[in-house]
Amino acid sequence: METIKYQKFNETLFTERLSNGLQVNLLPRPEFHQTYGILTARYGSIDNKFIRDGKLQHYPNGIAHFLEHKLFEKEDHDAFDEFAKYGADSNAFTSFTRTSYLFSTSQNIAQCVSSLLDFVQHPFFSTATVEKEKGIIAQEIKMYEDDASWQLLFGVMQNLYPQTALTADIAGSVSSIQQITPEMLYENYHAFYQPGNMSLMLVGNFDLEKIMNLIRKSQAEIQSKPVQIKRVPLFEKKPLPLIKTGTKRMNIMRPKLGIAVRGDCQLDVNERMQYKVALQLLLEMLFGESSSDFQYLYDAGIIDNSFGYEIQLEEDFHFVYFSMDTAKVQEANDAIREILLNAGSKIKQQEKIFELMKREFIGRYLKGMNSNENIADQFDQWLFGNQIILDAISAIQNLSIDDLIKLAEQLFKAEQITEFQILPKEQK
Amino acid sequence: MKFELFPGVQVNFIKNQQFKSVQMMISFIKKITDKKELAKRTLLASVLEASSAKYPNQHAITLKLAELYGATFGTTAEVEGNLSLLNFVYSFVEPKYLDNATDLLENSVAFLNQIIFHPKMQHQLFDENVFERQKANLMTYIKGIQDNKQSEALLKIQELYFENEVQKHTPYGSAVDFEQVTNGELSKAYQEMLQTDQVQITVMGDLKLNELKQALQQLEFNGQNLTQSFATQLCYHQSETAVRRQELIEPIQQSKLDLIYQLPIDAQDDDFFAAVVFNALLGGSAQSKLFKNVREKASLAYYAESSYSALRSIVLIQTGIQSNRKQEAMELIQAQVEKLKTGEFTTAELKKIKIELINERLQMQDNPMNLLEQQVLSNLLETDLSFEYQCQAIQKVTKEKVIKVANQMKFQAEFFLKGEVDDGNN
Repeated sequence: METIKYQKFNETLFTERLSNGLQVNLLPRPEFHQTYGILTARYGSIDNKFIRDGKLQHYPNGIAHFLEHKLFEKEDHDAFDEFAKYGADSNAFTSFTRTSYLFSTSQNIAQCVSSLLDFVQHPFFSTATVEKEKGIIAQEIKMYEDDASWQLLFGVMQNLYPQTALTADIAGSVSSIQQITPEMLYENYHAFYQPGNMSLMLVGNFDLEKIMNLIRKSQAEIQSKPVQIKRVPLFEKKPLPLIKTGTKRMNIMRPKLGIAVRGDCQLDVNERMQYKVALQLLLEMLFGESSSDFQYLYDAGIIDNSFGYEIQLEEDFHFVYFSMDTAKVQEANDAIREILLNAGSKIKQQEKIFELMKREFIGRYLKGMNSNENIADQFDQWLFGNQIILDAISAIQNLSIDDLIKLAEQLFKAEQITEFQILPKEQK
Repeated sequence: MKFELFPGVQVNFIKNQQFKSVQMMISFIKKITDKKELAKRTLLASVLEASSAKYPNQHAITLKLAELYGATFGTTAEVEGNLSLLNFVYSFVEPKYLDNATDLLENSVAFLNQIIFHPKMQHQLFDENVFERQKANLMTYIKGIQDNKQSEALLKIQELYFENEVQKHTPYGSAVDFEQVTNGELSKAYQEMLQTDQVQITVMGDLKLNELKQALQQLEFNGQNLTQSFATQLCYHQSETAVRRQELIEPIQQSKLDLIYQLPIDAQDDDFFAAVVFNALLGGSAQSKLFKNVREKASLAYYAESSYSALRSIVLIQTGIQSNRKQEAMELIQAQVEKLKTGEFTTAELKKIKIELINERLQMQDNPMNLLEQQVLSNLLETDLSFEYQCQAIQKVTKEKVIKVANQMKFQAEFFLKGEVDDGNN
């Protein structure tokens, strides 16, 4: 086991890559009641096209999410019930690039760790259970179809990444999931759920030695089977140009506006944490409540508390997404673009605010340590290596205002910005 | 550890080294009877959060909080039964994890004092711009709730079931009431809050008691804050009536069916924990009857859940279904309630639910805000809500007790938000 000590913050991370390839990361925190465990496969909604045995395989949209749902159900029991028996909560989620299975418990930790590994590593799919699941997932998809915020995000995605897997809803569509069969689920499972393509993180109140031994023992029986697959790159050569705009009408009261900036630079595992923190700080200075532009737009009623932004940073793509409800769609659109395109010159004179924001961010990341979920959810082996959120603190300390100006100039270009609007249906 | 800072101003201090930050919550508490007060308290929370004389806008407040090493601050206006709580919620990082951060506690309380006691006012009125902006924002926010169909259905059934005007419009108040609140009324509500509300200050973290006491002395309380107990007034009760039904058609994909049952067991009742267990069995957990039989087994709903509000003596059931399967859903939901009434659940199920509820309570202790809120509620109700006590009480609930609770369920209201999508077939 490798040990990474955070002396000042009274935390220690233990990591080990097992012989079957599974990456294990443990952060014991005896002062807490809860233990949070998360097992992640590097497999998400965009991985439905890949090459196996030299042949291109193309699976229905939504198959990763479908597989996630079905993995809980076994021949004679449901993994949910197993966790419930131990008093634990369990859940799972699928993103564009990852599928994660998690539990949260304050009792029977060893049993929960065993159950988590066991249910994810022993699939069972049958025609009957797959057919039944289609009804449940179709309901879930329909709910998202009514969700204007979700529709806004996917409107933006279609503009940002035309003709890629990123434009499809993570859950697929009511018609795409109808095509899914147990065989397809097994094929995808064997392609992506190899231990070498997975990572386990535990944070909370557990006995380090006991749990580590348990994991080693359970994994000794599970060896990676060499399935030869090759991922199909998200973009053929380089991403296509963005579609600049789009509109959809829905049954809503207030118009919604989404704006996004696509980043096209390739980042290394050692660069991403620094890049993400720098981008967060930059956005905070431009669009946070500390910015005078934000105050102006807020006072003018152009944006309100519904305004928000997020950074989505993955291995092969990243973008910044702004979303808001506003009656003044055009003004908001113009204002946000103006801020983005003049970002460098706007922050140039703001050395003092920059220093305050660094303080603010250090406090924010430290407070993030109050939640075991947060620590585990932010951890991503493939994106950031062995870094946890405490590593962001030194990344923040290392930043200079010139770094932010350079980042703004490189990222915020007119041709990299798109927008999408959802407007209320016209009154008949 | 409790002490009185001024008459009517009580401090609860929880010494704790678990977290990397210190949490504080200052709660102004009053009983409300006029529904307009909901709108006033909600608006007051927003106006006070957005500005003060010294920090005139969010920009200035944010910079001050950044200087305090990323301290976080916000206000909330919530309704607990018949009471309204206006909370100032604040946290700052433990100085031991920072470089050269001194006087963070003193400076934090000084900041809160500015926010609470020195708002941006002229001629005894709130700054007109701040007032109008916050009012407009809240009104659009409240109108926007309808865009989330689950929330819309919830507000509609609340309005349908409750007879009391305050409960009908909990927690924000109605858009009409917002429209009518004047700056003069709001400023008066603010003065009353300072002068007469009961105040609880709850603090948790690794602090020295004498330093805390000294820092809190900065708060400029000088009114006649209410010292009387709220214990007998907190819970809302309503007598049984005929079932009320309402249906609304909207062009949406997924329909929402919500039901309210009266359950006349409040938070001070001996059967309170039996009611908690009953609700978890019915629809408050992934182990529940509603989840297993309506969502999973019948593939009938995307969500089907129940929640028990001990402060309002109701059980609310929320589901999202297909519009042509309402009758089926209705029957299946009622069948689940029947099963609990007739004791159609195993001791193994009961045991699992209890373990889950206990686990939830253990985990809540890892969330600083939960600890503060539980402390305030426990003081108001004058009952022991410590997590240790709750776990013991849940453990003691028997099958007979659950059946007894189930048989007190009275179906009272049904709201159906019917989806009809205009795709040419309807």
